[in-house]
Amino acid sequence: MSARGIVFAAVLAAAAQGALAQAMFRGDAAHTGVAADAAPRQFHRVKWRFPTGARIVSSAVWHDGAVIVGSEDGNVYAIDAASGRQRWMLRTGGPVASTPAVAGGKVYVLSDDGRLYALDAASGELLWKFATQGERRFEARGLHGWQPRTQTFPDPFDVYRSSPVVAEGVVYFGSGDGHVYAVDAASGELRWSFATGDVVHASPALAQGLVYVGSWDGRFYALDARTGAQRWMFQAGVDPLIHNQQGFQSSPAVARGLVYTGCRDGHLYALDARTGALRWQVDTAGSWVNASPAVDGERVWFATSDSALLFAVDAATGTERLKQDTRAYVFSSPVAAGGVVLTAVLNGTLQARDAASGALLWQFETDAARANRGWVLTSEQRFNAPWLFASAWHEGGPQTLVRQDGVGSFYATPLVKEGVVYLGSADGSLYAIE
Amino acid sequence: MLQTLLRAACALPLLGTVPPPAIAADLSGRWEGTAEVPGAPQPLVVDIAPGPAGWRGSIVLPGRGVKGAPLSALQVDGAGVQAELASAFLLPAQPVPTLRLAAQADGSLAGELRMAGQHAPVRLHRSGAAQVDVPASGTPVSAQLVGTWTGRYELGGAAREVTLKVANGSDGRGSGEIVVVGKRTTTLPVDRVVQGREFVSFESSAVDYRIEGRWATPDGSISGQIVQGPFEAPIVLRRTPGAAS
Repeated sequence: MSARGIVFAAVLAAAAQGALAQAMFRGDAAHTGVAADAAPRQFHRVKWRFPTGARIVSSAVWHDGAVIVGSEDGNVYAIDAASGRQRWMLRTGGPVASTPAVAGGKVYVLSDDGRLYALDAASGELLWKFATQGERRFEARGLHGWQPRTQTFPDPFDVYRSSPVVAEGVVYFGSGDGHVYAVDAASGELRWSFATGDVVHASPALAQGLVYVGSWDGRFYALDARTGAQRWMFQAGVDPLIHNQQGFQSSPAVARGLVYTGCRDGHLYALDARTGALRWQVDTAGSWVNASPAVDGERVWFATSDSALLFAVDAATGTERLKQDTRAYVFSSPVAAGGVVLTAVLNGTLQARDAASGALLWQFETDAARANRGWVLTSEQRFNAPWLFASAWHEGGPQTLVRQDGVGSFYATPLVKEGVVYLGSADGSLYAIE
Repeated sequence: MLQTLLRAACALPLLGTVPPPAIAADLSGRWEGTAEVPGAPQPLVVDIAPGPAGWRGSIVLPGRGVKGAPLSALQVDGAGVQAELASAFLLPAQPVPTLRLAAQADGSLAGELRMAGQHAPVRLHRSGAAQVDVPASGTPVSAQLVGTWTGRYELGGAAREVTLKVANGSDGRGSGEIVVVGKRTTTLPVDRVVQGREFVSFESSAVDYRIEGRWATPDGSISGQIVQGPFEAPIVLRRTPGAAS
């Protein structure tokens, strides 16, 4: 190799190192949801399974041969990808339903104790904490039609906490206190905060100097990454009666001048990244779009909850290209991985489809889904709703979700690395599937 | 009820190890299965391995928020495993719940989980090598932190004065004492200190009380919060004038 070649190779290696040095929800700051590695086209085996003490809704991220993930048992784990053994564990003050971000050798993650944690990625050593005004779930009177309608209910479907995005030495994240925060990545000092009208549990995306994120107030915001000043705002649907068709759980993806985001008002929106103008929308007939879209070239992948559908639409126009039945609610975000699209479903199945045809290539099912204790699922792996929903009064609604989770629901988004899929389940385990 | 809730919020880990009989090495490993609690089967993941000072073990209770709780009074021999789950539950249980398992001809462990006068059948199968969670130990403290520190915080509208004494114990790890003066004076032993590059915590595990914060601050203070169960309050600790460092 010539000297010039060596220099070029060194530059490439440095660039690759830079790419490896950052890992976060949906893979990059723009949250495109496209994996650099291809997912397997055939299921071979569960390589290992790492049990934790509670539900995992946090998505795994990759750092230096380890997968890093949070659990609602309150811990953040680094697990050796080859062996499935724990490298380190850090206990936070509350459940961890946020996906960690890794940048510059540090792990950033939000806990339900209302603090953003900065940890050393190699050792798990706690470096600093940043205190918000505290976490909480979205709540409303008569939520989802639950009774008594004069009572405020916290939303049990508000499962995720905001996952940080890190860029140019700043950590951006949303909080249950209704703010979007920008914090210095090295020191944990506050750079700026921006107040929205309600809980912010979606994860901000960052592109072209703007921070994009939706709030449970039904608005989608674009903020100046440097100052936090609002550049534009998009008003989505609101539901003052039962608050069911309102709010952003979905996190945005930014590509080619458009911002794509799902919304609980039953839409996927494509907004002009510079102005916030609505370019196109897909109406899902009232079915929540809580999953975050993936932008794979000319197509946008997204999935719905009640209607249990996986869509591929034209990225420029929103025209439907493909639609597949997932059999149960999808909260987890589809991942495009080398001609395969992975969709993890609340019925405890991970589905791998051919990206071109939508045909099911393989499916993994948790033991709990197979056991189907308490008839949570029908024989077709759909939720057995008439059996599950016993009462709309008092705790009846939230208890339904607890029963539903008994099949090992997948809320987390799959991580694909070196031919292995890493995915956490409501059964408390992180699975490595190849 | 309030006392019960506070006890739940302040529940503590306990530790325990016993020497390993030489014949029991074959029971070392990760064991997974279920306790058949009526109507609510409880998955169990039990890790057992010989350690430098005796057998040690830990347990994962998926769905109960428990990862790596230490097995206490652990006895392992060729016939089976016995252990107490003294710290696997949020509320302390009396009598202490026990796990008694006998080695079976098919290579599994079978027995029962006893708790609160009830017992549930348990069967575990070996699923791999042991991954025992060893309770995190403290660190030594640097000279910048050794000494006496004072500060003040408010909780529930009442002010409290705090004196923190920090030293390195005979085992080389940080230790000390926290004196809290409010309506009454409370002295708490510090049994775990973790000093990182920027962050330090002083923990009195008996009452789940912790002072934590940044220690490498420009003005030489320790700036952070006190944490007691679900309660916390900001505090800044400064070195007592004239106290040795």
